[in-house]
Amino acid sequence: MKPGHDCDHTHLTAAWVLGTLTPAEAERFAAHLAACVVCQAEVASLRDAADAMADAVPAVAPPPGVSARLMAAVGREAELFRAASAQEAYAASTRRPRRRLRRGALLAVAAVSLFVGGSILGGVLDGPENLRPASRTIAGKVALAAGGPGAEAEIMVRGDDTALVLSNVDPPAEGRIYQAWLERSPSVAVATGALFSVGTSGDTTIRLPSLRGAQRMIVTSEPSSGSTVPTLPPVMVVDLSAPGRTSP
Amino acid sequence: MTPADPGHDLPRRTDEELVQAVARIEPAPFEVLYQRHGAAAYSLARYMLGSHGHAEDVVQEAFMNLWRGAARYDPARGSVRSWLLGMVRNRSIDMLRSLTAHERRRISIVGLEDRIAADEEIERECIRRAEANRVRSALGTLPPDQRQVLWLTYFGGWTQTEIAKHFDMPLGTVKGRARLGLEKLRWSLHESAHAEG
Repeated sequence: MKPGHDCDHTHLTAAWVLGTLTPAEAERFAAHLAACVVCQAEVASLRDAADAMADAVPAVAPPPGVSARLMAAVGREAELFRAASAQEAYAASTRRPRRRLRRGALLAVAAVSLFVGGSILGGVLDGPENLRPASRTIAGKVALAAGGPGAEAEIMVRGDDTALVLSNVDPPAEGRIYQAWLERSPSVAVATGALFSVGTSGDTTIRLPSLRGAQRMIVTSEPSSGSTVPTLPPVMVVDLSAPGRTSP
Repeated sequence: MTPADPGHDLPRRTDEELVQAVARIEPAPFEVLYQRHGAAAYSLARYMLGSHGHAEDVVQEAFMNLWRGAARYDPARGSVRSWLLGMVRNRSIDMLRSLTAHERRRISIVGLEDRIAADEEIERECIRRAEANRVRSALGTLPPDQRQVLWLTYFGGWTQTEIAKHFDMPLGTVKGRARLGLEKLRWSLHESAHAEG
């Protein structure tokens, strides 16, 4: 339909803008709208009016915790993305070609760690909790450069013993070694003394010191003699504030 | 923030520029967007759902959708604010539709217009927006039957078929009232903006 003409479908524009068409009606109207400038113009003008209705409601300030939880979630996802991107670039420059990192896929992986029990921003983001003395397993995340979603990193705490259990993890690049760190705050990583590699099986278990007071366990790829501070973003992250699984 | 910090000018950037930055996985621009639109998003969700807890959940989901979907934002389809509030409204409607028929009817009919007056007590203690009064005045100029249809569809998530059935009126009448109501609202908002300008 060209400008300056009437259209038989304009009676549907308000319902379209308000989102009250049935799915079948909406599908038909969307196809029509794509080709009808009369309806496009009407939809655009009615949408402005409909959008303005949101401003009619009484303004109420959101609770301050909403902002804090959102920024914590966003910060974690950004960190995971940066870590995977850096490791992806490093791996691409030193090793066999890998599939290209996609933002959506990575954020989807990150999102899994942020949605707990189907509830957004659940216990994970409500602050670290003290480690319980009971036996406990906490699943972590592995960046694509160290194996990606097919790899697993879990921390097992049993009495006074703590271990990092890895499955299907890629070995570090030639001349490099994995190093485990405990973070007590986001910018302070303390070396655990755990320097390790991974064999061709991709499976290994590493003993760790006590996690008490730590918020996260991270693993980075370092020069073969290890480092005093992490020199690259982590390739594995275990959030110690996550509830984990307990077993007798 | 120092002048050398690339984030120091974030508050001066447009919403569209901030969304482009968010698409590059930058948290700081996201925080500015929340500061700008978080209150509007929360106010809309709280009004539609009548519950602080549900409203918090909806706002968090909407902003996380913005964070994860910033690359999909298309300026040709509306402003960032419209996009965000559209997500808030759609999620609120999903939540309303998950309620029992009784709960939903109670929120949609008993609550909606009455809550405007009741919540103004809260509003005085929190945020006052001149724009709210302008839109409310424009809505107040609509005939009651048109305003009711707009109110139930926009804030209550009712389909036009549901309205026709509930109030025992032809579906065509409901559609006509919605369209006339929106057209009058557009005209009234245009007039008030022109008068202020």
